[in-house]
This record gives sequence, C-alpha cells and structure tokens, in this order.
Amino acid sequence: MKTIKYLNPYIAGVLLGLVLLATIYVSGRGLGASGAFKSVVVSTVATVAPNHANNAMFYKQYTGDKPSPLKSWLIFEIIGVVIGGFLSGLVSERLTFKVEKIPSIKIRTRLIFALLGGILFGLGAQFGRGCTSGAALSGMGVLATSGFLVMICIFGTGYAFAWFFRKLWN
Amino acid sequence: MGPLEGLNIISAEFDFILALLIGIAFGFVLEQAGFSSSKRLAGLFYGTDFVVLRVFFTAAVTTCLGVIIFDYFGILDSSLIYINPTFLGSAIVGGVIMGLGFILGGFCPGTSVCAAAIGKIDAIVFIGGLLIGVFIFAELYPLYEGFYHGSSYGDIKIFDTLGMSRGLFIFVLVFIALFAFVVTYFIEQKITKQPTQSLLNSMKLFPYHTMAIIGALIATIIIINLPSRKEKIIAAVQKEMKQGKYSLPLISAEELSFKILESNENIKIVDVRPDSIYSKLSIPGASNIPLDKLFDRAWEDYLGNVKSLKIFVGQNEQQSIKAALLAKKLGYKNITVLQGGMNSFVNNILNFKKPIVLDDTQGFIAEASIRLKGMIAKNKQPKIKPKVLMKAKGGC
Repeated sequence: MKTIKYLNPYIAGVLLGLVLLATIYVSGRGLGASGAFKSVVVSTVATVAPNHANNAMFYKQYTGDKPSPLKSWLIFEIIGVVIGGFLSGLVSERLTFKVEKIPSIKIRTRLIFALLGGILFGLGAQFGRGCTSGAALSGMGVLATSGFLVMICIFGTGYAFAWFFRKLWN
Repeated sequence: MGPLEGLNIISAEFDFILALLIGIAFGFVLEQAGFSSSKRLAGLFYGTDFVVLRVFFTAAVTTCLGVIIFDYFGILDSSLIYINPTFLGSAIVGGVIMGLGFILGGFCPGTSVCAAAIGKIDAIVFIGGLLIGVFIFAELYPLYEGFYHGSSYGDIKIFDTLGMSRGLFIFVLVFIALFAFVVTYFIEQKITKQPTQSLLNSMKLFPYHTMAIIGALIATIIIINLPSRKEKIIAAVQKEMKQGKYSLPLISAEELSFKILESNENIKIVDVRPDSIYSKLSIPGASNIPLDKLFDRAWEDYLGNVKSLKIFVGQNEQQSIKAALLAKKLGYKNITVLQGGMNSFVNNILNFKKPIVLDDTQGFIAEASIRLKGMIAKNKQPKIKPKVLMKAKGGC
C-alpha cells in the first residue's frame, strides 16, 4: 500500500496554532485531551458505584447537582478529534488495524508498554492539570508559566529516560 | 469581542457543535502532521525524527503571536482568557510522570486518540491505560490532596516569572525555536546518516527555508512592537483632534435642556469628568463614566444600546469631543457632543440672566433654568448597571 507523505511540520504547526487560537477565541481557553478521559472515569464511577462517587473526595468535586458544561465541551472536542483523525487517515490512505512497533520487539511487549505508558500519562496529567495539549501546548500559547514548566518536565524526562528504553524504539 | 463564550451569544447546543468542529480540526491536523505514529513521536527522544518539536514549537509561537494580533485589532479581550494556574510541585511531578509515560507508551492523550482513530491497536491500549491512570489518581486522591493544591502561584505568566517584558520573551522564544529547528535538522541528518552540508552550503541549498527564517524573525519584531489597542485608539484620536479632521454632531445646551424637559426621546447623557467633579454638579439624568475609564468593557451594554442617543459631556468642548471620538473608535454608535461642554450648560442655562424683555426662546430657557435647578437639587442621578464579564474557566 502506498502511503501519502505527512504534512510539512512547520505548516502543520502553524495550522495547529491557528486551531488553538480559534479555540481561545471561541471559548477563552485552550485545547484539551486528558480532561475528557477524566470525565469518562468520573461518569463511569458515578454510574457503577454512586455511593463511592458521593463519598470519595475526588469524585465529589465533579459530581455536584449541576453537571459542568466544561466537561461535556471536552467530550465533544475529543469526539471531534476521533472524526478528524479518521478523516485525515482516510484522505491520506493510512486507515489500517495494526500494532505499530519495531520488528525486534514482540507485539505483546509493545502493548504492555503502551498500557503502562497510558497509565502513567493518565496519572501524570492529573497532577499536571492537563496533558501535552491542555497544559503544555495551551499553557505555552497563553504564556502561562505552568505551560512551559510542564513542557520542560515532560520532554526533559523523556530525554532523561530515553536511553533505558532505547530497545523499545530502535 | 471574543472570547465568544463569555458574551452569551452562543447557545449551549451551538457551543458543543463548535467544540466538535474544533476537535475535528485538531484531530485532522495532528494526524496530517504524523502524530498518529508512536515511532515518529518517540523519534524525538532518539534524534531520528524531530517532528514533535517542530510542530509543537511552531504551534505555540503561532498562538502567542495570534493572541497579540487579535488583541491589537480588538477581536479578542486577552484579559478574559484562561491562564493555566501554576502549582509548582504538582506540575513538576505531573510533567515527570507524563514524560515517563511518553517514552514508554509513545503517545500523549491527544495523539493516542488520533492514532486510535486510524486503527492503531497500541493507541487503543494506551487509551485504556489513560483511563486506569485517572482512576488510580482518583482513588488515591486523599493521599496527596494537599500536595496537589500546594505551592500555588496563581495565574502567573512566564515573562513575569523570568522578569522580562512580554515582547522580549516572545522574541527570545521565536529565536530559540528557529535555532532549534536548524540544529535539529543537522542532528537528524547525522543520526540517520545522511550526507551533511555546512551551514552556509545548506543556506544556499535551501534558499526558501533561509528566507522563511529571516521573515519569521522580522514578523516577530513587528508584532511584538504593536501598541496595545488602547494606545492605538488614543493616538488616533489625538491625531484627529490635532488636525481637526472629524465630524461629530453637536447639540447646544438649549437643545439639550429641551430634550431633558420636553421630549421623551431616548437619550443618555454621559458625563466624562472625574467622579469628584461630577458628584458636585452635573446635568440631570447624566451618568458618570470618567474619561480614563471609557475603555472599560463594563459600559458595553449601556453605551452599546444603538437606539439611544448618547450625549457626551466634558468640562469644555475639547474634552467632550475627545470622549465622543474615543467612544466612536470603540465602536459605539449614535453619538453626539454637548456644544461647549458643561461650561456652556452652566453659563447659558443654569446661570441664565433674564433680560427685561423675553422672546420665546429666552422664555423657555428661563423656565428650564428653574426646573433643571430643581431637578439638580433633588440629586437623583442614575447609576449604570455594569456589564458582567466572565473570565473563561478551564482546566483539563
């Protein structure tokens, strides 16, 4: 299958910046991704174990009488990301079910590390009050100190540990 | 003026449609940039592919400059934007854990959604991990609740933290970004074992890239030196007044008295003198918006009412005209100036000296003088209900 080349990164960067700018113009805040996952977890726990959600400190903040419109906003945004990503994959002929990995590691290894990475990212995004999109990129876009701090910590740590996990990627 | 959400002009349903559209654009750009590939993303950490750095830095700089430009043209009120608050300890710990997650998983949340959308199974597993991670955080929350809310610095901005001006910081940021783009290009060439060129040869080889870099620096210098919208408007008004190039309808003190007493026309008298002077003596029915506070968006509802005639009153005609021109530049419509300002109202109406023989007009003025003085004695001036502006709330 032929693969269509990716967009020039600088053009992609300007476009991403414009999307972020449009988001700020519309909503007064930046983009987000991890917030939607928090929403899913909170709603799930509130449905499956309502007593627990009403008693545990963390859930109580989000399961008040008034459902927060912000949470739904992020859910819609993430549904949009799925659609947008799919459309892009469609036009660039990149739609395929597969596990992306280097030949020297097993599929199971890749999936275990993907799961671990996801767990850590989900945990870290809570402490960081947002992920690469919501805290780092959006924060940097509005020149918030936290945005730069989180960005440096994410990528700095990535470089610091890259050597230990080089076999996963090279 | 944006942000739109604070203006109550978009319904909740339409807001969600906008969220969906923004998400679609976001997902499309991320996928087109190649962020749906964990190998490409992880390449950043091994020097094989710096796409993340390029896209990320370019996007951040574009947004920073865009906010300044939007502010300059009065499209966006940047004081209402959500600034991610800084909780030092929690942000560092979070960033470090996320960095570790990145090198293990090869995705971040946004990119994993994008990759899952085109069928990457590893991305779907990563998303499963995200949900577990959030759940773990939630369950153990009491353990670190204090830490999570600790070392709070509020909505601080990076240039204040570093003690420089906003303009200088953005220039440094753009410079570092461009420098990083060039350096990482050479690192990439070296690690992927491509033939390398000297910097000078590369500049000859890529004339457009070189021009783009120089262009970006020049554009940045221009943008960071743009005056604020307020400065721009004040300068324009001063120029117009100096050259006398403006046309504003005038209303005389006599006509104004007639409007106040006899007609039920919808008028708003805006006294722009300082509060201390206004409260001593002002035209009946006049509300006070001191000249230096005219820029406040709190008056937007009051002055923005197109149907009512806004009559600007300063101490003298010059001050009245200045206020009216500022209001016009701020986009308010249906504006008039009191000829001669408050001085003329006091001299011609309140201190009207009755001649021995009165014509019709003088008769009216004499009567108006007494009635207006009576109204002033009652001292019932209207208070403007300020427009409530909400700062955007955010957070993931």
